[in-house]
Amino acid sequence: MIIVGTVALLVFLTACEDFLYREPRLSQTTELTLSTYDGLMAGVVGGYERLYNTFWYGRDFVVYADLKGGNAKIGPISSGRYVTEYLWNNTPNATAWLWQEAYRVIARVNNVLEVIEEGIDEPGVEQEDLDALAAEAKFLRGLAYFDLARMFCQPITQGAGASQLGVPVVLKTENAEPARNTLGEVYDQVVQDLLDAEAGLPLNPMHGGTDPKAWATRYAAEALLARVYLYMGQWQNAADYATKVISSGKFPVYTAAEYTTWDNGGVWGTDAAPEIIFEIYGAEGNSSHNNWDGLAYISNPNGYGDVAASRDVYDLYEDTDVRKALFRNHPPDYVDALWYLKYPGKASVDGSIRVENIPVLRISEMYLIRAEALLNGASVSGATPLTDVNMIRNNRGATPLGSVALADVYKERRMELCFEGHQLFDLARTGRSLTRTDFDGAVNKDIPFPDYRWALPIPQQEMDANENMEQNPGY
Amino acid sequence: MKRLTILLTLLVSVSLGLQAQGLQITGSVISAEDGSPLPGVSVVVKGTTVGTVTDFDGNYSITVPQGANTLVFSFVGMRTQEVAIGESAILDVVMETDAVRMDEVVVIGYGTSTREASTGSVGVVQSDEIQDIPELSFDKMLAGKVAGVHVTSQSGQPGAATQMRIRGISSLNAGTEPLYIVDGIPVMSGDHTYFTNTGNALASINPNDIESISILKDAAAASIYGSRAANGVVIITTKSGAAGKSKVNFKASYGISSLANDNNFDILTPEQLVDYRRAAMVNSGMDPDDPSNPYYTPYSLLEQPMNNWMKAVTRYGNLQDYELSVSGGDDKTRHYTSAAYGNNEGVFYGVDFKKYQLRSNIDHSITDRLRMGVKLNAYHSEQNDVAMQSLYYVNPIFAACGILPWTPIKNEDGTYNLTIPEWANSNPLATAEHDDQWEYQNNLMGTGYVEWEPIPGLKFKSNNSIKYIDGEGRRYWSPEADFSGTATLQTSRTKYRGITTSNTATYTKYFNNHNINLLAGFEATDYKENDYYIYSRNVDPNIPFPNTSTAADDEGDYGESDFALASFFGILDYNFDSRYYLRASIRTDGSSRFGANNRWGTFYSVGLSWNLHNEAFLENINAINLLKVRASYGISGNDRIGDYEHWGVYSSREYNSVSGMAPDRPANPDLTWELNTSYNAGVDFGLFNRVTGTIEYYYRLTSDMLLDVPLSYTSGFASLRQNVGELKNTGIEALVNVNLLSGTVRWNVGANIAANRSEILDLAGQDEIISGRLIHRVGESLYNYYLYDFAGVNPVNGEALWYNHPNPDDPDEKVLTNLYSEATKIIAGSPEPKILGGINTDLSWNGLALSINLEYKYGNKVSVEELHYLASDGYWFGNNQVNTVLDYWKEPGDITKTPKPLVYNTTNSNGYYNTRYMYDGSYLRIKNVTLSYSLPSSIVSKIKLANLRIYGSAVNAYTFHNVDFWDPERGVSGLEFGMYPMSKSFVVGLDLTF
Repeated sequence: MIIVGTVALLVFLTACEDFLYREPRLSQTTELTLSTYDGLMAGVVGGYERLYNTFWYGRDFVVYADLKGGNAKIGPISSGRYVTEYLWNNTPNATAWLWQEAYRVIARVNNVLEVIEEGIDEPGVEQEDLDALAAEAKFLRGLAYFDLARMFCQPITQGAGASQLGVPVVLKTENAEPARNTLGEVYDQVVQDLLDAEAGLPLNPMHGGTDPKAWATRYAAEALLARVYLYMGQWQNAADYATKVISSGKFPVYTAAEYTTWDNGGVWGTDAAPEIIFEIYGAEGNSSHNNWDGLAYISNPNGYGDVAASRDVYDLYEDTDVRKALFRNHPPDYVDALWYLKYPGKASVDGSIRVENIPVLRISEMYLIRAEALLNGASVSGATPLTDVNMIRNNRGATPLGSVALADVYKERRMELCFEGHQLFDLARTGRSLTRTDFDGAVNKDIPFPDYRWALPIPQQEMDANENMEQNPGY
Repeated sequence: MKRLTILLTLLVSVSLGLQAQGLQITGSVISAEDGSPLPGVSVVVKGTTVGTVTDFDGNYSITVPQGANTLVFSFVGMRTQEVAIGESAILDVVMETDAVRMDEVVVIGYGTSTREASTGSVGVVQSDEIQDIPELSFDKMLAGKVAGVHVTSQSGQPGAATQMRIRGISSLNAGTEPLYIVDGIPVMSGDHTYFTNTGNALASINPNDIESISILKDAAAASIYGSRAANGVVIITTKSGAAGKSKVNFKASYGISSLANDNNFDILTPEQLVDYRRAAMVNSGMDPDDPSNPYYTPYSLLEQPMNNWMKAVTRYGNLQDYELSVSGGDDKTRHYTSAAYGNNEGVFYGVDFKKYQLRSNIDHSITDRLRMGVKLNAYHSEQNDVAMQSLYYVNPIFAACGILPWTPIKNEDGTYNLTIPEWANSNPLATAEHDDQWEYQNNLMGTGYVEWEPIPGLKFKSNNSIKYIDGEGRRYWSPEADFSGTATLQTSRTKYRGITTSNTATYTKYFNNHNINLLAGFEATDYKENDYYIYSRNVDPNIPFPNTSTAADDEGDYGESDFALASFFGILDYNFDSRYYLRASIRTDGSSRFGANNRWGTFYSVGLSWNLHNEAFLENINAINLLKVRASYGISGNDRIGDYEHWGVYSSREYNSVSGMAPDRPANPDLTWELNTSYNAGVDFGLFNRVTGTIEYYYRLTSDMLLDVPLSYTSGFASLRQNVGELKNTGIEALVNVNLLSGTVRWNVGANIAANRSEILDLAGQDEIISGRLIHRVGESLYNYYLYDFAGVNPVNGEALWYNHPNPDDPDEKVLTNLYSEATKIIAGSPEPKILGGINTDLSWNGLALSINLEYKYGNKVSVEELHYLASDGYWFGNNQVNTVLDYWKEPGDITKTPKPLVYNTTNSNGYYNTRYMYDGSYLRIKNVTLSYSLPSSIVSKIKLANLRIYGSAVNAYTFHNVDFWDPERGVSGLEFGMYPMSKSFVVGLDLTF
């Protein structure tokens, strides 16, 4: 009798447990999502999704680099946005939210990588499919750590170098409080991830979609490696990887005629333009769509227009240089002010300034990386710094140089890559101070190098939530 | 199974056999007051469940088992009598009025009790206390009625959701509403509409179908409801028929309503506005009479035709209510059936609420030992409104304050004027007339029970219910009301259904003055909801439905949720000689809402009471009718969180036209309910057969409070909701009722008062959490406004002054500044009332009755952020303003709270979130006044009626307050924006019984 009763009770309690098990059917559990190849693939696409967020390539990351680097300025139309960055007044309570977004993407791809490393057993899925997916995930992780290091750390080529404070390298995402790795360890991870990406990524994108250049390919991994090696001062590697991309012949340099906005028949505002190796695709359909908080809207006087262009960069161009025509004023109120036109709205949506593609890697940078590396002692057969720099200048309507020094390469980088999120980091890695002439502000017009402010403070919330976190010196 | 049947049959026949050997007693019961026979008096053999009721002429007949020695006679409103069974087979009884209502039946969790027997804190409201109040739902009728129960609303719209907080607010992130139980089954409360501003699921219960409402406040009373009991429990019992002649009742009422405005709040008159604008121009160094100035404001503006937009958007609302009920029955079957129709047109155009209702409650005795019953409620509501509760341009109350008086309402051709440049070309009257925003709902609830008493004292009951709500919603922006001339449509379809089974076994035993009642139960609830939504751009205005929008312009969406609860519970009630009482309860709940590690939880309570008046040493003191001390302790839970919060989930994302998946939140298998540990101590007293009262003290501790604990971002998330915080509420409640006169003139006065203090004890290591205008800080009360410190107006130049507090640790250190940007936010006061309560009085004479209910709140602040725009010192120079600005600074030396106006003021004198727009929200409200007259029975019997009563009733008749807004009531947090203010209503009604 007791046995029957016990069994009956157990059956009943089991039934209770089943009754109490309710799953959210409109979303998926983590385990279910990552249990199939398609799910893992979707998990990687979910990683890309966040790159377009306002805090990263969607706006802030790019704007910070150019505002703090002296290419951009707070113009006559100001709502107060970015004044802190323009004046180099960042504090732990007003720092870059890239910190949050980059680790979010790292978590997304770590989840995928963890499953792939354990292996999944699915008919029709070959190991090479999984390897390619892992390579793509690692590309995103490498990019995320590289951007974190650029934003929150001192440059690895300066000061105490690789032994300086890096960021926590998290390869298995969990609820923990990791301490900061050294900057050297961070760069080692970036290089390792990108080498793995290069080895595993195919030459063509692994996903469909509208813009084929908005996905990582082997070329993208190689191009990013070229830049990472440049940042590390590994000149020969930088030159070699730039050469790999250049010699693929897939990415012709824009001609002078092309170098204008889409509505004038040019490339700016179009999808998958010739030079682009990897870009972030902007669309209202993107889950990270920023509405009015995007790059185009902030830099267009018909939008917010807070972020204007500095004459310090405008005045570098010769009148014949097509790049000088990529600036505008805003009559009748702001005849003397300047805004830049690299985000002129998108051709595919009738010029809407609520969306934009953001170039991350394009071929002009590869020529300039190689030129800089060669001037620093690297050698590539058949390549010279002068031909590389003139490759750009000839296609821009600028007078070709007769000889080239490092300063010429730096200047050409600024003229070519301005407003694409480079200048701050280029100054830092080469140990140059910031000097601003066209400046409307009360404080911090010039920033010397070295200075603690070249690394942004770690967000206060991270400091509060993570006992092992160390703040950057000076903050 | 077969064996069980035989066993049970045997048991039944044995018990029936026992009964057959008893003694037959008959008699009559009359009232001591006028000698009239009392029908419906319960006659029970003490210590058993053997009983009957008196018939229409007050007669009864009962067969008592051998050995029985006492009969217990009880009747509502009469003192219970115990009469010894002697040799005689006839026992006649005279019953006396019980002003102390000691024996009043009190419905509690899974049973009933009496005032004398109750060990817990239970507030009771009977049907006669709410019957004439012209509100749409019973919850609104409880304001000021029960000590410690805060009833308020964020909207005065007909059919608006009610916020009820019992003994303070128990949580920051989990729900704070009580559990509502109707006839033993939990029901939904709150807003379950899709597009309308608000909605109230409790409106599906017709207030006139309610027999009694019990509010379980402490753990001894509530914690038998386990993981759902932390915020208290409201138990509603609907009416049943009584054996005897059928009773037919017809009620009709009609009335009007208007915005409550007892503080003369209004928009500026055209003259005041012109003066105000001219003053702003002068202050800004302009000449108002200079035609070349773009802001040229000559007095000749007033020569145009003027409109009072506030009058234009409002009207007298109207309330109609009709209902018919039939009740009656015989020995075996009792029935109660009602049908009702109500229509409440709001004070704003486009706002109304209609309801249709049908209820049927049937109880039937299959045999003496087997009973069953069915309660069915069908309800249909039609709720129309316009966008409010936010600062939409079409919000009529906001628009009427902002549109200029010389802006025409209509064009010359009779169409609405849609050229209103100062108001984004939005005309609230066009919207009210041409646009749709509505929710139609069908709501069905059926409950059926079977009760079997195999042997005396042992009862099995199974109570089962299905509840179903089907809602249809529509929001339509017509071309007639839209400046751009397009037609846009949104439609919704929602479905909720809940199934509950509740099964109990009770055993009652009485021996040698020991009374024992045991209950064991099992309950399960399964709940599902889903909704479909279609967004259709560019529909054909002649066929404004989704089918006329192109496929590309139709967008659909879907949502769903479900949850399950399984429970085992038990109750022990024991008393010795009606002197010492013990109630202990335990409940184990399993909930699908919680993580695998914490799916099951156990809750319990113990309540003790001691009836001193039944002790020998007080027996001879006639002045003391009731003196009881009681204490309770218990733990209950709060399961009011989302259905799937413990799951780590991925949901869909899109990038580059490809869909991906990304995590929304991390899994939290440890997620569990918040715990509410409650202590209660109280004294109940009844004196001189006239005065009753209760004084209570409570302490409630919320632990494991859910908070979003910040995580290291390296985890991929910013925070994780965890059970970490702590909060306490302590308070004192008192209520007293005095029966001042009880002869021909009857007069009762009652009052209740409750003081509650909340304090945050732990925020998981954080000092404070700031959310908008509120701050939650350790050591302070749960809610506090966090606002910029306004320091008044500089008498020299009329500019706003602010305080800067340079030292966060010393709030008294402050520096005056004229810059809003330098002002500091301070903890400015709490929206939680320090004291709240009510005062009720009933006076009657020869069929004439007057009842008055007052409601009061003291010590709460409200933040009227609307005034940032509507009393903006010229910041909204192009719009009308409200009369709060009239005391603006005019000349040096003026001491005022209102800065000088400037043309398009950019000084931030009206800065967001500042203490200037915060008011003391204390009020005293004449909540309800009812005057009724019942025709003498000599007259009504001539027209073959049992009763004919006429009455007039007012809701929110007058409110004493000091808030610059129509009405001070703004919901629990006082944060509403663009809200529909409370309205007052006056109703006359007719009540016929035959």
